[in-house]
Amino acid sequence: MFYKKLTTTTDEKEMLAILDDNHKTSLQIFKAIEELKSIDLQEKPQKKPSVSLDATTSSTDSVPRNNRFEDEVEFFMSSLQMIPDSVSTEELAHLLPSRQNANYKALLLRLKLELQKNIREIKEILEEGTQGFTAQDLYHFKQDLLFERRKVEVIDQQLFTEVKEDSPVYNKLIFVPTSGGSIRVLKQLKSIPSEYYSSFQSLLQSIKDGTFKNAKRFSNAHNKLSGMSEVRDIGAGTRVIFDRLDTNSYAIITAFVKKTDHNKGYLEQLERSVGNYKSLKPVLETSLNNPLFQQENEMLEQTIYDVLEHQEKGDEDTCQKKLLLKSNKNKV
Amino acid sequence: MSEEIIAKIKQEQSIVENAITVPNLDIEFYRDFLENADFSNPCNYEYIDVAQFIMAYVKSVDSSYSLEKLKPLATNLSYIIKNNPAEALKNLLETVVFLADEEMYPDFLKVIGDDNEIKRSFSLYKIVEQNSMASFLENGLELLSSCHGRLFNLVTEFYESPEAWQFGLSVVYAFKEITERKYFLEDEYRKLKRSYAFDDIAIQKGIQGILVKEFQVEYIEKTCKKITKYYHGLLQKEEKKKRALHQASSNYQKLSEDIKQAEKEKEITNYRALISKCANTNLRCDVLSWVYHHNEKYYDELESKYQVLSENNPKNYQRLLQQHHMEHEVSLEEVMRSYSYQDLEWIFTVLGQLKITNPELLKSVISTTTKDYVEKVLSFVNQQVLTKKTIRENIDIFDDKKNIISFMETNLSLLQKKKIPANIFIKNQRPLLLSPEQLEKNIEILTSYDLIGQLVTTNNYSFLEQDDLMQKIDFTLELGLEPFLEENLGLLNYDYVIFQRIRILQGLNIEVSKEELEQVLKADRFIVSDEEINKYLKLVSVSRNMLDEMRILPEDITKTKRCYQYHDIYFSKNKVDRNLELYPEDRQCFIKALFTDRKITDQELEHVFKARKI
Repeated sequence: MFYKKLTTTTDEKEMLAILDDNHKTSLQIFKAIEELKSIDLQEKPQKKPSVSLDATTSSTDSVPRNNRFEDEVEFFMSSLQMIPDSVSTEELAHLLPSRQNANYKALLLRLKLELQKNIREIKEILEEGTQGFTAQDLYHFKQDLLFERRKVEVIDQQLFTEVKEDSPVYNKLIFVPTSGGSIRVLKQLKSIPSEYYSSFQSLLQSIKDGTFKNAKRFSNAHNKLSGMSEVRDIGAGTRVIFDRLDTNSYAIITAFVKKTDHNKGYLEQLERSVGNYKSLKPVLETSLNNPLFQQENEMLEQTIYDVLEHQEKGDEDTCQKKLLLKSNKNKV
Repeated sequence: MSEEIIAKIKQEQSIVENAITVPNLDIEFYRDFLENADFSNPCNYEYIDVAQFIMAYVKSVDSSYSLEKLKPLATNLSYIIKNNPAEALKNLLETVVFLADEEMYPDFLKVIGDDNEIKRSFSLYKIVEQNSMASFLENGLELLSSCHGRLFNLVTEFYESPEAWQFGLSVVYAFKEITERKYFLEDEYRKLKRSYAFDDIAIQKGIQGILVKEFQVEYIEKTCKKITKYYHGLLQKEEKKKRALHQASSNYQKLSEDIKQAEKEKEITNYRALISKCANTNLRCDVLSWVYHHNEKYYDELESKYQVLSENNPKNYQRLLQQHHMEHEVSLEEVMRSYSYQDLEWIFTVLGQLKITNPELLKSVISTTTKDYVEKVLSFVNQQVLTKKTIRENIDIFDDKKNIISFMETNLSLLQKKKIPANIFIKNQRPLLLSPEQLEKNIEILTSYDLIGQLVTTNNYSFLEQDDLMQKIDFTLELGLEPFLEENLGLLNYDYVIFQRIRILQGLNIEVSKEELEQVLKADRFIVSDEEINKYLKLVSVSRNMLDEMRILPEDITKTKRCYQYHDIYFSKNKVDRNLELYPEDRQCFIKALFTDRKITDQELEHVFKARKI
């Protein structure tokens, strides 16, 4: 292919020319072969390093959906477990998830499942024998069994009874003051940028209407916080910490924007707030039936909603003034 | 090989060597002539061979003559000279000169050109007549005509080469004349000898002296030196020629050795040096031709190597892998070891036609297959036995060690035997690629549950790969899902734990409709995680006592196509039949067989007891 061919009629001069050409060609091919043999395999193209995770991405925005559901289950279960068995059916129903809750049916079924499990376990205890139990223990277990069954019945009522009209849930919000007397939540909202206000508004509303948005109960792992609950706007990172005072009254302890799970400062502040609340809780519980207290809280609630809606940096003075004005009006 | 060319060289060499030994006849002639010819002593002129002299002289002046050509003429001339007096020779010479004249020669040619001898003679006579003043003509022509006319050539030769012949013939005439004079003087001396005591030597010397004086012998000697000179020239040439021949012979010898040496090289490049030792032009071409053919093999090898290397250039492989985004996925060295560039390129083309382009998938194919196996797989696609989708979804079909194609062939035969159309799996051909033992076993199981016809209700045949298909069918039947199974055999693809969701819902008194069933089974989330689900189920084995308590009568058992039913508890008929084989046949055993290896939930148990009470 590359070389010249001899013919029978080629003379000496032509033959020499052909041999010369072929020799030249062979040198070129030889050189090309050596080059091909000596080609260093290129270093494997370096894989581009994958883009590192943005360090600023907040880890708190990625709570898996299953965990949120489990948190809600735990929240409602704990509410159901903490109430005395003397509570009425209506009060029991009030503790169940609101129909407006996005996971309403799933929560009810799960709560029923948990209660059935409890029932089973209590029955096992009773069936296994009474050795080691006192009569009072047995009575206690039986009462528990009955109460669990009652809860199941209430849930079944919700599940299997057609509801013609949704009766709105209306919970009272009790705003916890600081040790200095100011309303903590109001004070905190002042230092939070106003773009978070709509989120806080929705969280407070969810406590009010019983939907308890992404509710979560602090477990015993948080020693100082155990027993408290929070509602959460996962996307915005906003949190409202609350506690149930009675069937339809909830203490609003604090509100904040959670940027990270590992901020020691934030945790300490939260613990202080909760610690402060716990010391005030008995007073708050006894004040629940006080009309003036209720009124004040309604005013506070309104003020806070005004702040959240109009993005006004409201303060306590304004609130006090409004209260005074109303009081004067009433007098008049 | 070199034998042929060396043989040719040897042949040429022997020709040359022979040429060395071949005597030069001319030299021998001159040597012999000059040995015997004494030009310095006129007394010896009579002993000079006239014919030889003519040949020697004419050739020495005009070397174009060959001795062979001169010999006949010289011989004839010699004969005339010998047998005629000097006078006659003179006439002859003058006649020749006359006839070779520019004006006479053409006519002369015409005359001697005539084949008719009589006419020729007459013509010659006419010449004489016309030139009566030339007194020599008649005798000259007479002499020329002798020897059967062969001397007429002398005129032609004279005409062609006058210098050579004129002087030559003159010398010959001088020899004749001098010899005649010598004879005369010898006679005279002989006469004197009668009277005087002259010795012969003195006489000869005396005669010699007279002749030298009378005839300008030095001139004759000088003229004849041309012969000697020519002879010496011949000797030199011969010497030179012999040297050249020796050299040529030596060169050929060297050439043979050089060729043997050169043959050891892959490529012969010193061909110019080789042929420089070769005098023969044809042999030089033969040597060059041999070199060409010798080198041709090397060049062919070089060319093939280059083509292979350039085709299988690592850069080409790299480029090809990069085109398919595989540069990070496979080792270049391994790929080059496993495939030629062409084969690899073809495989990528085929995979592209099958729309297999993902680098991970390509890697798994390239790492496990061969070109032949890809051809085999492709043939099934071309025969429409396998779809491209099947290939894409079952990439391990290319793994020649797994040899899934052979499974397919066996499974097709099995389906044919069972009268199950193979195109039942047209939307999902995965079952065709299962191990034949597995497929056959599970087809038997489906047949035993009368579910083989339900294959058409689904496109997902993963359940055919399950080792516990029988247990799975029993499980779903025991959940009361027989009607669901009939409508969608694909339910068998769900894990046991997913089916427990149904049990949970049953425990919560939630009825699941056909439409809701798949939603529940498929959902990512259930009311409880699959990992935790068993915590919420309590399954109990029914003990003998419990059976006695339950007081189940065979009449209480209802039947469906595949199940026994007691209240809301379902039992797989096939399973019960298997259990019956464990017990001797009697009434009690049937109930026992129902509950063997059958756990029920505490709620089901409670429900049964409640029902009994009612």
